[in-house]
Amino acid sequence: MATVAAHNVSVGYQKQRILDQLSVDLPEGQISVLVGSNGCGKSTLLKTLARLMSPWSGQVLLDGTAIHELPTQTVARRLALLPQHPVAPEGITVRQLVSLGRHPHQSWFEQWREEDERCVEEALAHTGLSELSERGVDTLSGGQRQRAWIALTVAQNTPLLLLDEPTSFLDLTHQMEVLELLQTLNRDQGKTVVMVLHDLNLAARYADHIVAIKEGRVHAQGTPAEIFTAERIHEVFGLSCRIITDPYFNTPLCIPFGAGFPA
Amino acid sequence: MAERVLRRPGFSRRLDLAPWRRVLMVALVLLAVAAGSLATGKVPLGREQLLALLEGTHSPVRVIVLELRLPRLVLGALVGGLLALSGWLFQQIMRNALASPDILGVTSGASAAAVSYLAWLAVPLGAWGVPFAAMAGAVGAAGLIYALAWSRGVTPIRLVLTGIGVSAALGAVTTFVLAFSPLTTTLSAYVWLTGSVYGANWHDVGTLALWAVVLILPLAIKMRFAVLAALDDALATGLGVRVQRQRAVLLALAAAMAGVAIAAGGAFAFVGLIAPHLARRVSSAVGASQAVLSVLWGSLLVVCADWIARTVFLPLDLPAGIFVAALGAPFFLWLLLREAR
Repeated sequence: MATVAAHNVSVGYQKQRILDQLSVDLPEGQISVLVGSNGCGKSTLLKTLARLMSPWSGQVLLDGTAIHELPTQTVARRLALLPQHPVAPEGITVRQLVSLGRHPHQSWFEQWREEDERCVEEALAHTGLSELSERGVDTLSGGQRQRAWIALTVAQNTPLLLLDEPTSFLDLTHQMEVLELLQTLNRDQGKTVVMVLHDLNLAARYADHIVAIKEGRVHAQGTPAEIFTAERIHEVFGLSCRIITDPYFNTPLCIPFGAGFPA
Repeated sequence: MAERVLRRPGFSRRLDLAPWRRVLMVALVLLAVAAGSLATGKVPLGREQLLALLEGTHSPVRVIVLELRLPRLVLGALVGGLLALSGWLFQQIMRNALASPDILGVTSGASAAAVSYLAWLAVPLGAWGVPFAAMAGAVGAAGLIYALAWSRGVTPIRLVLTGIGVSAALGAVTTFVLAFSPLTTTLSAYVWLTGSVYGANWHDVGTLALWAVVLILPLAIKMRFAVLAALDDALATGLGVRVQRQRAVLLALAAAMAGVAIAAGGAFAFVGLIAPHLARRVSSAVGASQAVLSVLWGSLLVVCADWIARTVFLPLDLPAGIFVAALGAPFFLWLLLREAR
């Protein structure tokens, strides 16, 4: 079992409240995508779910237990997190980086059990990095580097994976590459994936469950087809658009309007 | 891929052998330099004296080598090694290649305290208190920086900036005290501020070695966190590290290492900054091997510097600190240039 949920969570920075009594249950074994306009609190929600921020009130439940009451190492065995723009230590190789993902399963005495080795090799294989494993992380392309980071979280071998904008700063090919990888991890290993994405059309294609956030609350949630309607998009993003059906994959496709491209 | 895996019931490790070969190489160079340093000086060591030394007969040369040169050499190696390890740890924790005890205010805290002691307390109390003053200054400055940088936890960038601020203020204190001191105090303070292992004895070596053990053991236990400290806070938290707590412990260790080294040898600058870079430039190590390599580079720098300071300008015996930068900086620049080609 691996579920994460927020119950009446309020949290913010200094005195500014970002999330306001927000409750959400992320479905187990599915890909959930948090969407919303900049500053709506979706990244804050992800950080709070990953116990990087402590709620002012309410709580985050990991498998039904309050996450802030669990030892952080126990949490790290169930929930892996990839923050936005992680920075690798200078000169570290892909294999060394991915091996760091084993930390929550290790102790001072046990630092390289057979299981550690197996998980690292599998993580490298799943992410297509076996060939590149001795390369320095700083010599990789943007897409390869992001795969290396995902490999680290895969080596962590957790049923839950939280990612904060894993595709930002990547070109479309590499965005697809990362999302395909996450979908494979979800389908093949049954991982529950929760991520923040900005591209609605990619979200519509890869998400099983969409959570639309507005002003620190869950505005709507459901399947992409339920959430991506012209009215909802306008409510959540303040954007006029038309939703058509992708003629190839039958997922919703958002056509935004603007001054130069009126409705 | 040179890798050894060690697995016993209840214990497992992976050893990347390549960086450890580097460690061995630098250690051999250090031993060679040490042998050269022991054999040279005001009284050079010829073949006969060397034989006499090995046979263990009592002679003036024996006293010179074993009671003057050897403790000085070992103290230099310890001071350099501890400063280098402190610098490596600071650079890991701060995730900043420019971090070092010099820049983060630990050295300037020790300097301000030691110089103040030399100016006001050395005459009534005696010079024995200088190391204690230096140690107190280093720890005090580190604590002050941590407290000032605190805002629901400390972030590396706040620590660096606070460190630079505190360092500048304490530097002003040192200069102020020096300006109002008699010339004799200024001279001894100047030697202290440059860094010197002149007149080291086995008692000094024993004290510093004990400190080294006390401070390196907890680091050996915390090495995994020292490696993860180089990642984002968010990533480290995600991997189950209690970031603020581990950071505080590692910072305290780094500050104390620099503190004891400076208390024993004076305010050697540059070692803590440059030795970890030398270690990084010549190997792809992360973690323990990189730390050990930094220690060896730090030892090598100070031992070489003291060798030059002691022998090249005979009959003068200069403070080793002068030659640390004179030697280390060109070497480092040469490495950078070679890398760029």
